[in-house]
Amino acid sequence: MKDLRRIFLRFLSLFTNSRAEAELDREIAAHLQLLEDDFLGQGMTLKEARRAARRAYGGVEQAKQLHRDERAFQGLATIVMDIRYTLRQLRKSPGFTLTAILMLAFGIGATTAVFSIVEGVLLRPLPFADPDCLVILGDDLVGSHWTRPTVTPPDVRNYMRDTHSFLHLGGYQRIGRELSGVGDPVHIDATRMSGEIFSALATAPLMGRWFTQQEDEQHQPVVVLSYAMWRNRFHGDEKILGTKILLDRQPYLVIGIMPRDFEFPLVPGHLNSSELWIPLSLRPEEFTAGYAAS
Amino acid sequence: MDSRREVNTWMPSRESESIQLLQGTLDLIVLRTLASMGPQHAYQIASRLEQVSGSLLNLNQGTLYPALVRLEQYGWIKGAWGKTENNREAKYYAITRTGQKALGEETQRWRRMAGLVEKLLVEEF
Repeated sequence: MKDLRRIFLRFLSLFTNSRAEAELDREIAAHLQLLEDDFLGQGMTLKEARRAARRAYGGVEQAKQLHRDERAFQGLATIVMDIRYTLRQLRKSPGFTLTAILMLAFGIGATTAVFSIVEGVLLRPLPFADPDCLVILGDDLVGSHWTRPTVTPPDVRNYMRDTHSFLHLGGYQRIGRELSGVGDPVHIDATRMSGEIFSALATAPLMGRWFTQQEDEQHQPVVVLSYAMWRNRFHGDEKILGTKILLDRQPYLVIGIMPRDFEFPLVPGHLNSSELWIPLSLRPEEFTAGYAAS
Repeated sequence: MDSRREVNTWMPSRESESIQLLQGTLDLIVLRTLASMGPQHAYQIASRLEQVSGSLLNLNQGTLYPALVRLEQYGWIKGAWGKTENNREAKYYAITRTGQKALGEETQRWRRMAGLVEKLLVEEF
């Protein structure tokens, strides 16, 4: 306890140095004065008494230095002095200071921004099992202005049927749906996707199960909820499994809930991540021209 | 005690008879002086030391200051400005309540230590 107190005070002393120095000067002067008085009382002349007092006291500068060493962390004291000097110099030339600060700020900001992107895009692995084995396929149509390669519904079917280079292969499409039946109807962001994609991502549901490719192809009206959707909309009620919710006025059976950190498709930095997932279940009309699913 | 510097605060004495102070001893002596004699200024403490020790402890009075600042930082003594009988100003140091307690503990420690050394020295011969 006493040592803690002392460490704290020795730190504090770094910043109250001038006051402590003045106090010390005053104390030493008083001390010398008292010594001098006593020697005068012994019949010395003023000059002799002053010299005798100095002798009895010892080196004043030496005593001061010992006092300083004891009072504060002297190594730090010089650092504090350097910092004060630097700040004084900076205050004298505000133009230079401003330029330096702005350069540092922009430099650090730019570096951080670039690193954030690099970290997000290149360094951080995908939040799924076997991130190295996941790919997104897309057709790059010459002459089209699509920034992201996409695949049309007929091609999703064709790829899934005819490609054998992948363990799992499926299609997905981000969609909007009206959710009703519980509370006020709301518009939500959803994703329809092949049952195969769940197998590819290999993330186990928090509760319940995924829908299978078979259910997808059989056009089963089933739905898997995101953790956020389950918590916010259904108050984390486990009994929601096996009940039906209305999506665009169609009843869907809730069969699973995903873990909190599951997100698909990944839209980093966006708020509109998918809140639930339903089977892709491509309709016949989607195989005609004019439709596109990615 | 924690200060390795303490031994050095005593000027090396030319007199062969004078003794070197052990670490922490000066703190204990100052505390004891203040406890028995009431608030004292540095000069009075130094005079008291000289009076008690004779020429054994031959120290410059300025070397008392590090001990005073250390004790004050421990919270064992407290300094306050006052007037002497001759109306000179001086900083009077008084022992605090924690100081009283510490003095008791330090005295115990010192006695044990001294007793131990004494015992060893007796057995040696």
